Amino acid sequence: MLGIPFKGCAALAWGSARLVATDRKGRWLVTIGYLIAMWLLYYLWAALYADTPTRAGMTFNSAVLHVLVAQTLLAFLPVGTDWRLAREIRSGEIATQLILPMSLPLRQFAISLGRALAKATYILPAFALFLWYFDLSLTPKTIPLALASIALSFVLLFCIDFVVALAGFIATDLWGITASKDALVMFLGGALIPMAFFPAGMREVLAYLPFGHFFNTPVGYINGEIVSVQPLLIQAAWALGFVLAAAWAGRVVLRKLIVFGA
Amino acid sequence: MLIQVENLSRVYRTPIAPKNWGERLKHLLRANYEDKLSVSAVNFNIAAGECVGLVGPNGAGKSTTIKMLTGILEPSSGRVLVAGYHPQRDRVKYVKKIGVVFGQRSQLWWDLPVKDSFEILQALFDVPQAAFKARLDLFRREANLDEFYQRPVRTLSLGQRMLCEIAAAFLHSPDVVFLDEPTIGLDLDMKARMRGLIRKLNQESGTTVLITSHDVGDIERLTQRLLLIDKGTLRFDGSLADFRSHAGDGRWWAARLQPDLVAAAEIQLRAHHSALPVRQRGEWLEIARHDTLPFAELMQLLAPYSVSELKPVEQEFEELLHGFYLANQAEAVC
Repeated sequence: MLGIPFKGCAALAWGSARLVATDRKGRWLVTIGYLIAMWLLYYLWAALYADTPTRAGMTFNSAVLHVLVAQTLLAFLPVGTDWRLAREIRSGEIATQLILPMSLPLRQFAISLGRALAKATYILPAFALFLWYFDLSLTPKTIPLALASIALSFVLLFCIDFVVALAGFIATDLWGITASKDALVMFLGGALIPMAFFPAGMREVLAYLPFGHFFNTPVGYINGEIVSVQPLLIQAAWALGFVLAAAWAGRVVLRKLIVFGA
Repeated sequence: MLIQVENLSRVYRTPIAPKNWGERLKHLLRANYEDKLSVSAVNFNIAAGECVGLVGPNGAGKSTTIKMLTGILEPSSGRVLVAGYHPQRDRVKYVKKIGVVFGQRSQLWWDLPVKDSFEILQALFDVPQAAFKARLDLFRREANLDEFYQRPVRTLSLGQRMLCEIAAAFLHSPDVVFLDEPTIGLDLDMKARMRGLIRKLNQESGTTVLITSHDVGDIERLTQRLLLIDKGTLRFDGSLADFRSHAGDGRWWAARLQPDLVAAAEIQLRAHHSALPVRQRGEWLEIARHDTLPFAELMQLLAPYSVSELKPVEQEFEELLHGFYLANQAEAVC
């Protein structure tokens, strides 16, 4: 179907999930770090709401849940595709990928998907524990739409990471561009503060840009703030555009690689 | 022919380093480049089932040629056709027909057991379970795969890892396998096991093998044919025996003489036959076998010098190869 080697993709995703699973100590460290960050965020937002019941039209509960859910998505959806692929490009390891019967973006996507799913298996239980401890609860109105929005958010995050990683062909150190990308995605995507806190003019501009669909849209579905299917359709349209852009960039870079050499 | 290479050339564009401040400033705005011909008009064909050695000194263009044959690099000009595929244009379909081992890189998953890497490759190359099992059985017999099949790749020795790399390259029963320095850094026992496995797969499965190696043992023990490339140009294409007669001075006689008479014997032989190659090695005098100097006549000439032993000798292959490289260098200087 569509010429996609599903069996190969599933094997790659499973292999990369197994890699995450083999790192037991790393898993514990990430989980503990995640819980500490969540705890700090909770008390930071509690302090912000200490003298007022609402800010930017949001109650403490809705604001803190927004940030906590966004941070949870941030903990397992982006899986460092940019750093990993850039390293493979710089070291020349990319050559071994070109002797596999699969396109470069698809292979990277399958590997990243496996990592994200594996990370979800320990981040989500930690999140559930956190919610139980602070007596918070999620109230999604439509679980299928929430799940679809999380999946589309993963696609968007993967595509932007993939395109940024391709800069590894022209630059040795990608720290600057990756850090800028992370800051833009987190801040404008609503992972640090809800977009309701942004000035009205900025929100209007952002409505025409894809950033809100990185975190704000899936968080909206998970918290029950969004019930209509329309934001999901817009998110899907952006995801399609990003996929086409990543596929095009992948083709151009591959062409450059085989024409100019690794 | 399974592999057809016609007028294959590859040019690399490299920036010219600026020599002074003026050039450095210009370089910031616009770098100057020079073209370097890495492979130049190379032609050869390889039939199905052949095991061919691609040799040459460092920087000769071997790896570039392999990269073009595997579809990783586009030729600047010329044509490559392998098993009916254009390696670059048909890359995804084509790579299912080939196996590749780069001695310096790994296609195995570092932190996973060998078993998992092989199963991932099975899924990627769509290898039927029965064929996969048959191949694994072969590797178990020939390479003692069971010793390390369940162990993470990072815990394997270099030799064990390279055996797994070779097995991985042959796992999907490819038509052609390209081996780029497969025995680099291995000890003698591992080299022997590796060569045994490659030979078995070449002979029993009929897989075509193109191998590059600086270890002449790999070439002598595995290949029937030699492609010798130097400075991007194919200098020799033929059997190993042809290479010996082409590049070397053929077969020699070595005569053990009374030590103080060796020099005199050499003078005597040169005087008798000025074009005859003769050389001293300690108390041995080596004389090239030549139609113009029959054995009986040679014995007569050497008789006054107290011959205590006589044996036929052949030049080492490595020596011949080295001589060939040096001759090419000298030719380039002239």
